[in-house]
Amino acid sequence: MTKFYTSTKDIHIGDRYIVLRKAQWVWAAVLFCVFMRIAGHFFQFVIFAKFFPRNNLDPLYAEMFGYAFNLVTGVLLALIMYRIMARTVQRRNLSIDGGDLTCVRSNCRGIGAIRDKFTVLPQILQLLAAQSVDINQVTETAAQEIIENINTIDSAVQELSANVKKLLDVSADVRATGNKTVTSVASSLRSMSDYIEASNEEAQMHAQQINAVIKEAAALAKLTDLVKTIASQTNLLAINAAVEAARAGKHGSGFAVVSEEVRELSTHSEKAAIKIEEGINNLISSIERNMATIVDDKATKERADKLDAFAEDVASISALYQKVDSLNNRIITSMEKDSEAISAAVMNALSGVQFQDITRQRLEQIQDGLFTVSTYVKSTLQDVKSPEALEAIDNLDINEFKSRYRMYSQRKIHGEITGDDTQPEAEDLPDIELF
Amino acid sequence: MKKVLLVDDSATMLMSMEAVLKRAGLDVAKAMNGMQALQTIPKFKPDLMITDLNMPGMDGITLIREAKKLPMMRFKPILMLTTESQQSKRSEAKAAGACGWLVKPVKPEQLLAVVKQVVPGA
Repeated sequence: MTKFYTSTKDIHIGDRYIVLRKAQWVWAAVLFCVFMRIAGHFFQFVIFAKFFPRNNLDPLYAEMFGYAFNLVTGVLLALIMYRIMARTVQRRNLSIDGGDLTCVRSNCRGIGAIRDKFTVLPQILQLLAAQSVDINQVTETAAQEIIENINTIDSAVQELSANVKKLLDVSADVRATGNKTVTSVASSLRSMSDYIEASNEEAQMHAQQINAVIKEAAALAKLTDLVKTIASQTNLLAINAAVEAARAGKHGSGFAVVSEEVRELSTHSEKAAIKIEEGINNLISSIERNMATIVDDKATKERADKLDAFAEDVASISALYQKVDSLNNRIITSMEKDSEAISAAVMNALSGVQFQDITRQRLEQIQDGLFTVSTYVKSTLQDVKSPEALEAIDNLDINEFKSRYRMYSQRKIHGEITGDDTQPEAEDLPDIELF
Repeated sequence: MKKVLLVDDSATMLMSMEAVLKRAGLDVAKAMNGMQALQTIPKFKPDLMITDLNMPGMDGITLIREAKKLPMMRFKPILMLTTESQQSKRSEAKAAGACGWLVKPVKPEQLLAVVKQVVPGA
């Protein structure tokens, strides 16, 4: 059976063998001459000299015998050496049994060269597959870290949201209480203002009444003048009566007593009228003194102004409070909206890391493909020893990869690369389907 | 609180879906493969199972068939969450007992809407 060179190393050995075969007779002649010369000297100086001393044999015969010996031993030795060399080469798994060695050698040289060049290919494919495995691990680790960080953010946002809700509840209670207080204060202020106004009106009314009383008291004082006048005239009348009584003598003694009594009565009346006048005047003075403080318009106005100023301050505070409450409400509402937006973004980010799983699956299929090709190339390189063996190896089917696809995009790409007219399954299947 | 069992060979996918479902107030358990899921079901007693299709060892469709044999899962809904897009696989899953099919990547609001639809009270 003809064997072929399967590597450049074999080709080099084969080349030497071919050179050996082609120049075999030349090699044989060279070896013959060399060994003949060596044998001739050996014969001459060792064997012939020892066993056949010169003086016992004719020189011509001795020389002819020597040449014959040289020839025979040279041929034998040359053949022996040639055979050893040939066997050595043959032991390299080369044996040519007929055939055109030159033609076979060129084909095998090609196969051997290709084999040499592709020997490293399985390793390269395994290297690429291993790199993609590492990519998977790196992206998985990164995706998990992203998820953990997102969960941390989410926890903080949820806590913030809970605090915001609590603040909203507390704020609502405070607002309700504050509003009640503000309403109550405003009502109290209005009541106080009304009361003061009413008090002022009442005080003025009282003042008017008292003024009327004073006027009447003053009028009474005038009556005392009348009493004094009457008392004075009565006294005068009594004096006249006393004079007439004196004129009447004894008959007027009774009348003199009456006139005396009348004179005393008028004196008492005058004194009483004076006392009454003094009393009325004291009463008027006292009323006027007391009323001065009550009907003092300036003091009343000051109190009203102060109360109005106080009411304005309270109203300002109330307005400021409501402003602050409104602002607080807006802040809390805004925070609630922002936290909801963050929450939605967190949800989207959490689901966004699904890309890692999809990438992993696609990389795994690439890894499978690389391993498949690597195994195929390796086994082909191992098995190829002859064109017949090469023919016997099955071709790698690219459509074998198609059966492993899961996604529409993968099948579409396959079709575009291979020129496969078969349309991938339509992309119009819904992403979500409930049976 | 309703319970959901997630089954997927991707740790990232499990973490992601677990976070989404827990934020929605669901109790979640995870399993990395079919065998682990079958061991978890009797202890966890989920109200819903969401499983991937392509997993090493036992695939999703086989898992559904085996899970439906368990009494606590017989009438419980099972959803398939997968990258697979072939109609034949959908039909196979439906025949095995799945009640729904979701293609990755799925948006959280979509997932939660489906969960609320198939699990009353979720």
